[in-house]
Amino acid sequence: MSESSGGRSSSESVHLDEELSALLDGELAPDEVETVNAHLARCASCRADLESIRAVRAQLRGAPAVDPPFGFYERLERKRRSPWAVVAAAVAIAAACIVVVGFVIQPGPATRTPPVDALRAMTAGSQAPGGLTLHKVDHLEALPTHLAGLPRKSTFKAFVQGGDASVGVFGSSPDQNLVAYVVRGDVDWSKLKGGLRSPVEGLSGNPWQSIDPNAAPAIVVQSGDNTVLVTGNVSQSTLQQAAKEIGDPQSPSAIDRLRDAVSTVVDGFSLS
Amino acid sequence: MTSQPSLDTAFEAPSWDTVAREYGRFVYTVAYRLTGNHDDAQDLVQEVLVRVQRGLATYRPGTMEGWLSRIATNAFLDDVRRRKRRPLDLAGDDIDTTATAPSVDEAVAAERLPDHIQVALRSLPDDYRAAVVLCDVVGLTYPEIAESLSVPVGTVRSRIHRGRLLLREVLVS
Repeated sequence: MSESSGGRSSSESVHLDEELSALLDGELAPDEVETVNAHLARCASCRADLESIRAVRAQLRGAPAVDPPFGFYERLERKRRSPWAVVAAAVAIAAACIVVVGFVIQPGPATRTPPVDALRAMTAGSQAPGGLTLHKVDHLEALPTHLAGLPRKSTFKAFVQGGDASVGVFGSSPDQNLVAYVVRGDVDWSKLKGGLRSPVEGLSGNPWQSIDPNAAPAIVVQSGDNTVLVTGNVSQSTLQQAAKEIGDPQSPSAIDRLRDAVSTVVDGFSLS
Repeated sequence: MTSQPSLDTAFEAPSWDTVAREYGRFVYTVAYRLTGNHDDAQDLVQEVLVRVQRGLATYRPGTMEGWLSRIATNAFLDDVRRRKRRPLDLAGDDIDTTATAPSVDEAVAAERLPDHIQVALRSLPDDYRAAVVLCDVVGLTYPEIAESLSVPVGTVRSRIHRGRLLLREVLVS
């Protein structure tokens, strides 16, 4: 290669090196681009390198976002509510505290995006028709009966629906929250690393419950064509009540039931 | 109405809950790509949130993603240096253990990961991985990465390219 290389590091080499990544990233000066392109036009080896690096780069950039595990923010909040955190909170600005605490203890989809895509992908026969839309819900005027045991300030934080999966996310009081996933179709729960689990007495729909001490309790039941997962940091009896209510096979549609439970939908935004 | 600050008013730093609500998933993704496993990612996010809370007052208007990823990356590298971290286990420490079984959601989240990319990333030296993640996961420019990592732009360029070459070997094989 006779021209002076656009890359400092390749001054001793006849082939391009770092310039290839820099070219793909748009980090070369115009004259460098010209030099590099001139070399590429003549050098099949460097063109092959460029394409392979382009492919690596594309794979990295195409990798999906990663959802934090359920209960992550609840666990953070529990730590925050340790004696040290209480002292810290006491000296903080009151209004800010309310906002922060209110947020952390209501880990709706805003704080912990439900793994809707994963759930949908796991749904047998999924047609994946378009994206799901997440609606933030200001409040729930009429509490579903399974939330009756929760404090009056309970709010229905969000509702996700689309295609073959719907997810109702029930934010609640500072101390409690409840999340219900309703997935249309069958779900291969054997794929779930749900930790320790055991059957549930007194529920229909082949119910099992997570008894993993490191995870929020969860109950899964089959309901007609749907699979219902109820989880949260509420009591086991509340979870069972919710699972029974939402998963009631006599209900025309668990998804409709969830949808009907939402009284106000505000500020819709999409889950990417 | 937008939340953009007007020119004639003092810039109002976003609240901690806004940061976490709007960017929680983003921060977790960066943390997971940097650390390579959920346990360390959670520790890192926790540290990031602490630093965010501490640093909100000094936040300057700009790309929130850039600011957060800078915090995350620095926290990650600080931790690496502090702990003289053991080499990451390529065999996959995402694999369930009976002692600390992941939650249902964690399992669901893990289910969707393209493991080959994560495994490849984990094979990189920490400095390379940080540069690659900031470039290809976060989307920062070389100068922004240089500022985040406190290294020259030339070093960033080298690390990104070396990182990609190593990734190419792993991904191809």
